[in-house]
Amino acid sequence: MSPTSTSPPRRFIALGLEGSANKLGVGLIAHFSDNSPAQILSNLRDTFISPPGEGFLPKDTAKHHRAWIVPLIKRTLKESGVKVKDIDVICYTKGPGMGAPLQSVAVVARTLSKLWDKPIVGVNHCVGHIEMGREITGAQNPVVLYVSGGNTQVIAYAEQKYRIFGEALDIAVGNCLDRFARTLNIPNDPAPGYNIEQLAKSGKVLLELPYTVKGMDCSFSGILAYIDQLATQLAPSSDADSTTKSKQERKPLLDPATNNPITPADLCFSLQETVFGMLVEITERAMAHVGSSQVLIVGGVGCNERLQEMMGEMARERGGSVYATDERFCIDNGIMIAHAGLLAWRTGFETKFEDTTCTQRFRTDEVHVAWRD
Amino acid sequence: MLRTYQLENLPVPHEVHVALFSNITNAADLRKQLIAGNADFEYAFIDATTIVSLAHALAAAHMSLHRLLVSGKLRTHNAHSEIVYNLSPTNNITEAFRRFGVSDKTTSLLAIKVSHSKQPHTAADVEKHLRDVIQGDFVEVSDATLARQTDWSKVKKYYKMQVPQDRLEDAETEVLGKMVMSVVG
Amino acid sequence: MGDTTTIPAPFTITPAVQIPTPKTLIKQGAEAIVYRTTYLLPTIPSLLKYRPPKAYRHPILDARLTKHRCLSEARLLIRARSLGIPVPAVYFVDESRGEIYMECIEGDSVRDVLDDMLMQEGGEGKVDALMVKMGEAVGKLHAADIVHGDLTTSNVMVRRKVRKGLLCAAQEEVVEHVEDEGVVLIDFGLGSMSTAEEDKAVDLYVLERAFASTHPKAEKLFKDVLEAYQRSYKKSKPVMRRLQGVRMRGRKRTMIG
Repeated sequence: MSPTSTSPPRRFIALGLEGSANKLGVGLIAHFSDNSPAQILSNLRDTFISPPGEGFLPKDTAKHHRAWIVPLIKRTLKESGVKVKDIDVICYTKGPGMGAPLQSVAVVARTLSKLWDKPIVGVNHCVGHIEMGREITGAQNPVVLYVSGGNTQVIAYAEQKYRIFGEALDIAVGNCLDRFARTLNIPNDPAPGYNIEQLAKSGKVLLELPYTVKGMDCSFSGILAYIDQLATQLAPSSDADSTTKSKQERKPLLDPATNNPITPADLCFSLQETVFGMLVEITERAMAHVGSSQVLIVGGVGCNERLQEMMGEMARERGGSVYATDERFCIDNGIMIAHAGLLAWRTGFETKFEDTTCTQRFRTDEVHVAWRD
Repeated sequence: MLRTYQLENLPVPHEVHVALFSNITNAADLRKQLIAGNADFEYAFIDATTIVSLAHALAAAHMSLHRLLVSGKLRTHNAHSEIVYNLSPTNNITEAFRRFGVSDKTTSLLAIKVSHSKQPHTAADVEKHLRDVIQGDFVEVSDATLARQTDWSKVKKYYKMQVPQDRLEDAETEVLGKMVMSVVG
Repeated sequence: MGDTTTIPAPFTITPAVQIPTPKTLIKQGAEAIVYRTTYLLPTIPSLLKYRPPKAYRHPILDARLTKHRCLSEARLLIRARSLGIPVPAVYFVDESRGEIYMECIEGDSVRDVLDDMLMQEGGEGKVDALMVKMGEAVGKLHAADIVHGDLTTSNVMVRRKVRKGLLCAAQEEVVEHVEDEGVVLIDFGLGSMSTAEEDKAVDLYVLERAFASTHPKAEKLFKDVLEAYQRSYKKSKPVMRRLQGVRMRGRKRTMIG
């Protein structure tokens, strides 16, 4: 930075569009050529929430995204005061995610790119989370735990790649929690995982659940099947919840120590303690392997305070610390797509129009992280 | 003649007194006293033909003292019966005594007495008592003398040793392994 | 053990009396700490693998895991040893405290010696013999349906000294010819019993990656390991086929995003 120069730093602006799952996000971010901190010009989101006991289907989710995306973009421009001519690049989520929702957003990104004559960049959803997490928390080179409804990965950066050290071998941890929420008929508003977290706070009994860690990886389908089974053995609740799926086929599940019936809260508590224990363990293993003491948690499940607490405890024991973002950023959002897309674009990267497709499977380690050494 | 050991990685104070007798003639009587629960006769009376080495015997004593002094969970009546029990590769207490404990026909006897702060016994006292009550030859206890007494067909049978072990140390390792396996397996 | 409010044993006991035996820290991993100490007598060297409690986990879960893993590792080691696979002997286990006392292997890991060995005069012969021993050991292991779980060159030891004689008489002899002595597989903390070709193939793949990333000069020697592996493990064909698949997949299966 030359002291004699009086011209202001060049500002780069990216529009980010995210819709890989049930959250539709539109974000507008500004970067500066003097590398001062990124500025969030707008970060809007609308979530498609399905009724209790149901998951969100691709068809309905895509419909929701199609209905909301134009109003959100209009509002973004209006609230931020940014003009179309100031936007440098359109960024969208290329993958991974659900097919129809991804496409519904990609179509808009392509259209705007043509309409406004702007370059377009396809972004990896996971890389979006990682880069936003780094930007917001300032964590330099942490081991990253990326946990959401669709992904569970332990990642460490090396030589221009986000390398996957460990992952869930079957279903993502968020998926496990969301599906159990459905089993218990817990509302999906604001998010099933959030409601499980609240319910778990009043749980007391730690039941023995299958704990499956294999080396650096873990697996959740076993524990889900097991706890779904346990849920059928719960005593009928005292609330008039006639839609609950619990059946009293035999004697209800009891706490062996007190003979009190096991409650849904106990199940949520046991599930969290167990799956989060698994996540912290594989994260610790990766940290020991690469010799790091910093952890960054990104993704929707990263909002969970119990997970943050456990991870923080482990990091502290290693002389390090845990970084996490708040719900504006750990939950899927458009700003992270804008941010990661802009980082790539500034290194000269651009997605050719014929390549502006979407893909349900897009591994984090496939991305060339040109913006880092 | 009596050897006293202080075992590693166990709380102190403690002592393990070990004595070996051969050509004994009053095995039946000793066994009666043991069963009667005569307080003076709290020993691990082991048929020495089932023992392959000094480490074999000490390992059993170590497990017993660990339970007594560290984890606090004995599986048998006292630390001494526990030593005989530990020698067995199974968890069947009766079988352990029948196979590894003194029987009426025992002629080689390994006697072990443990001493700790709650129940101290000096080497001198133990040696004197043993000399008084055991009718047989008081032998120096060592790997060599123990090896001379070993009845390998018994050992192989009790420990279900599959491969004939060429080297004594391999047999010893397998025996120790089986003892641990009965606890962890 | 249904009481969920009291903290289990390992967390409350502070021995009222002294335990004077010294312990030297050898390695501090993510899951366990390894000390060098003794067993029974001061003349018998031993390794203590200690799994400390993890404060971040619920105490009941932590105690359960520690106990389970301790028992599992001990069982695997004893079983392997009884089948003639070169692993450390197990001396004593206290699973409620997460402690395993085992044989101390005097030597260096293949990781540490391989590159130096290659540079020595006549080192190639030694290295060839080493590759064969490695292949044979892993072949025997897999033939017994035991999977190591973390088979890197850090977890294969080359003995420098060998114990001769019974434990109490412990005599250690320096190994004259490394190629005559065997290798020893260590650290079965992530091990398991498995008949699945996939698991065995992943074992081999991890070893292959270890050669590639830490011993670039020795990378081609891994094929010698595989040859010896196949010679020693008669039914290894399905595993070798699976290895191809594991290699192509690279790290892992892809997940639906």
